[in-house]
Amino acid sequence: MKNVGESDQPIPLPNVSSSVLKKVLEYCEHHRGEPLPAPDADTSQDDTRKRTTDISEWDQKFITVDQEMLFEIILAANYLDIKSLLDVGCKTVANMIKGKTPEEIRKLFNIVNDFTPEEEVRLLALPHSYHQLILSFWHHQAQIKKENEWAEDR
Amino acid sequence: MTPIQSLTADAGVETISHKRSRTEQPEDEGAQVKRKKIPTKKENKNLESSKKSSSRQSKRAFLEDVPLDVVLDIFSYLDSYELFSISRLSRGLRDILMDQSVESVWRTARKNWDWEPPPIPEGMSESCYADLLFGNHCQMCGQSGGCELTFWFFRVRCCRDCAYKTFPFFNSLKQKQPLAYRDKDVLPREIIQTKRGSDKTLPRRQIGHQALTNQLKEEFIALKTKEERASWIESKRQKRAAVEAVGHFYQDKGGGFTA
Repeated sequence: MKNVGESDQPIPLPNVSSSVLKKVLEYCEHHRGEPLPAPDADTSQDDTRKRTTDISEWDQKFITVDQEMLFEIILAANYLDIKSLLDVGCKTVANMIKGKTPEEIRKLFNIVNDFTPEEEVRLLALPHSYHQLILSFWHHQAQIKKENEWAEDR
Repeated sequence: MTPIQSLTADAGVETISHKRSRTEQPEDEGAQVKRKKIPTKKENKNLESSKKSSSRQSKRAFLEDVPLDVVLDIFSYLDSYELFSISRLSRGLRDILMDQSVESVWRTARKNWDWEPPPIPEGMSESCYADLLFGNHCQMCGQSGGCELTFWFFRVRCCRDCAYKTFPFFNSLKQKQPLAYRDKDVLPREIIQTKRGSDKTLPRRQIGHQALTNQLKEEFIALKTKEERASWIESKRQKRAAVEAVGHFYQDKGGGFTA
């Protein structure tokens, strides 16, 4: 909203209901005075670091709302360009997706499976056990590596 | 060790379905899968519609109301497998994720793995890589399940029958190639491994790739000087070694367990 500049004119918020705006203001009030994230910090997708979905305790509590509200907050944060709030919302949704089966994700987000049965046979089968085995091996390997590093540190 | 237990359980299920597919006609199996799938889909739709009617306001459809850049932002916290699962949820999501413009999301996803990401073969697109890695349908006949052959060099996954039918013998293809590089470990080659304890009609076979081999020939002929050709051969040799290393990586890790 910075781009709008100082003005006495009211800012139209046709997409944000009052209850959502209240939530957004609550967030802004709590995080007032905190430095803004650097503009380029998160935009570079080629960052080699793993993106973490950790959320601070207060934010966690703040964002524990029903799903409808969660999406309203995300939409409002996007519309009002509040990057940190948007991040909290996106991380929360990502955490909801993690560890769920495709069917659970569909139910959760009301996604209608519109594949034809033919496509479904092609696409929706779960990964082959072969690949799952490979994945488990990677995991295993990584754990051994971690343990070795730990042993070396000692 | 519950993950490993569940994995072995999965493997057990898989071998059972293998047996079934061997005794039945492929068409029958396809029909069976269809019959199985349709009722579940209907059930889901019923569930959803009943939910919709019960709740005072119809539930928002995720991704339909949220702008694309927000959706991609959410995806940037997921790992490759989660992203792959998402791309199989609906047509809309598949279209978003299979688009070339979202390569960076897949790249980020590869970095979000809990352990060291597996190497990606040079020149392969990220979404294609994820499909090779996690998918299980045959990319030639489309049949799902029991498709354990992934040819990293050919960038294709297919079932045994399709592999025998499609790919020429490596050696006979090799004989037709220029002498200069024919024996220099340049030509794309894959091996169809024998299945442990399987019948002898499916022998181990070295296979070549017609189109990729032709492409090499064209590239080679286009080069004029000896030096250019020599360095071309060397770079191709290195490329093949790199892709083979990826293939061996996968074979070493899982090959012994598929039977």
